[in-house]
Amino acid sequence: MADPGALKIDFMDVDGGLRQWKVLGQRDAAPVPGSGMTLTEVEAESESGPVSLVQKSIGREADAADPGLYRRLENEVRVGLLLYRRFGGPGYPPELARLVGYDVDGAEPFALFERYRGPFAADVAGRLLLDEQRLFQTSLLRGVRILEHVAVVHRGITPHSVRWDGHGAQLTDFELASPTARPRRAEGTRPWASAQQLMGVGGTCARDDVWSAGMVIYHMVVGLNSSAALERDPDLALVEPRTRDLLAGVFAQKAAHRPHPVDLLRRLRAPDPIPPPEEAADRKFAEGGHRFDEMMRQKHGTSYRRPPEPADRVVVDEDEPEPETAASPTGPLPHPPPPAPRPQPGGGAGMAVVVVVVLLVIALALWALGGLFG
Amino acid sequence: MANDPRQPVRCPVCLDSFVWASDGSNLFELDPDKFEYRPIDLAGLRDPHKREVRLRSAFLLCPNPSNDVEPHYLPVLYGRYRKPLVIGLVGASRTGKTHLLAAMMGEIEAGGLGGHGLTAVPLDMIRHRRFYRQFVQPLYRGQRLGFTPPTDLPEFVDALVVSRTGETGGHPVAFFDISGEQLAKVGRGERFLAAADGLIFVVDPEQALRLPGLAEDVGALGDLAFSNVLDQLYRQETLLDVPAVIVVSKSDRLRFMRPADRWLAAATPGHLDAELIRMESRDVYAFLHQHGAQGWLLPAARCRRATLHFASATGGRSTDERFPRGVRPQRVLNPLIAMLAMTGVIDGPEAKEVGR
Repeated sequence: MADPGALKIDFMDVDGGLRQWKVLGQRDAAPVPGSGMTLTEVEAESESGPVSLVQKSIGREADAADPGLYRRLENEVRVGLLLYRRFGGPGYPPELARLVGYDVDGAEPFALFERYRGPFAADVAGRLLLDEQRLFQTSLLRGVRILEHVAVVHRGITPHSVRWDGHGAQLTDFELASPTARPRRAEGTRPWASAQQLMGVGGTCARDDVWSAGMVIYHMVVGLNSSAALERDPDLALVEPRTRDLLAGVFAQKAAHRPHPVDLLRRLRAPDPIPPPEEAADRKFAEGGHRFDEMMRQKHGTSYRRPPEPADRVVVDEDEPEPETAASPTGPLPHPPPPAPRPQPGGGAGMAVVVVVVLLVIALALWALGGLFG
Repeated sequence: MANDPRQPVRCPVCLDSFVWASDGSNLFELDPDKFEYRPIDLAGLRDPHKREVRLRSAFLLCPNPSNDVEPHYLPVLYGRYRKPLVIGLVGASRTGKTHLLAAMMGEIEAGGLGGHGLTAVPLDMIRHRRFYRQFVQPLYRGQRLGFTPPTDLPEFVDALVVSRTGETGGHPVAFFDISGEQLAKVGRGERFLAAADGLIFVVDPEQALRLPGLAEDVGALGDLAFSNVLDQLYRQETLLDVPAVIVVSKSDRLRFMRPADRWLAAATPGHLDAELIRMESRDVYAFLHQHGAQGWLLPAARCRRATLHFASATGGRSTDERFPRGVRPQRVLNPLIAMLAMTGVIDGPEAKEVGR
């Protein structure tokens, strides 16, 4: 932890190595409302030079008051490491906060991130120019799509977990993040979390984040004037046509009816981010498993049966029941949600060929008749 | 076990065998106030029923014919117990054996065996109390336990009588610490080798795994204490019939790594599940192989029945000799449950499948 006396920060880096960096300066940063965690901006001397960091920590009092904070910090570290392992090095997407290290065993556990890209999006809600809004929307939805590439659902997208630096948005605070297709835990707050997430029904999917990102995009346009405004369902008549088109279907009651992040990027005419390389199964780990099987067969002969691979319970979108009691801020939709494509055997193209052939036959017949009588 | 008074019995503490007999002169009872054993004075007790009740809760001073262990006491009912089990915890110093055993005892004290229909009571109350005060209580108060210097002799740590809930006559289960790289083949060492019913091999990821922050430069030979005890047990069979459990202790260090993360987060079923144990064993084996710890897998290859487990006695690292976030044992009873199944304390068709 940061020790103001010694001005050192001891932590474990993302590769598992122990580090001790000299603290050059630090100051309290604005906390995320309702988070319970403390944010400190730290300037430190790393092995390769000065670095700007954000230290997200749990104070002793907060820890005692809410034991769930520690689990959330641990989860944030877990997701940060997953993102590091999938994107690594210079290709790490700027749309996602980047974990530098952590100490989850100390009296005041913390996670260290590269300095966030800017202030809370909430600080500039309702004040972005049209071009800035487009940049904001594109980068936020790219972040959602990149998370989907690695099968992570953020589940906590709000104007306080999104940062904005004037050029792009950045997703931070992965405390509630979950792998996709896992049973939804009831978490989040209205209006940012979807009804399914608030109730904890069905399985997690990128369309949970589509709801939340859509709600942030909506409020970035109309502003966050009052808590009463947040209670109301989104009124898309209040936003300009391009954003209205973008948000069509985003607040559909069932997650499966909401557009996919790729659809939203397409509506913005933004390119789909390139996915990271497929995560290859570790060769040495697989080899170790085969050696175990071989050893067991040698010891126990054919009575040994290779056990199944451990697998998590999968809950896909389609499993979710219809939310009954939650509010349904669907708002007026200028366009209906895009219908699911239906395969049509021998569809439109086949019909056109038939028409052309019939016309040709008729023309040939007329030509032949003309020859006969002419 | 000792229904025939002429048959020698083995004391699970000193591992000596002797004929179970008492002329009444070596009987003791536990003084609950001073918490010490005092000789029983039955002089004024004429009522045969009361006399019998008092004798049933009495203790016998073990004669320890080898005279190499401090005085210890066995319940008079010991003669009616089933076969005692002698379990060795094997691993070099600082691998976390003491933390693991203290956490096991703490979880047993909290009723952790209840889900498997088992109860456990101390065999020697005073020794158990000493272990509890010296190790279990400080650990659960967040204190890092002191370093146990290695020795070439097996050191008795504690013993429990494990019974099926509601039944009498359980199995005495004694735990020994085997830390030396040269297990002496004389005295207690020899007796241990003759009596060992099961071995729990403790792998310290900080010493065994080739990973940044752990041990980037590990030897390929593994823990010399492992090979030492296995070599000493070798009796010209292809495979040893002593069941082995390999525990990756301090698995909290691996909590963000696959597959340890999944197993540490997984709920433990309240019943024996041999297939689940096999799944975890395969994952642990593959993980140790993946990270260059093949040398630590020797017990799995040499023992006919073996299981492998991830466990953490503390749930986190210590700072300045303390665990600042308190102690949260994870999966510490799973290795013991597997051992109890492989040694017959837990019986039934599912138990027979464990480790195969």
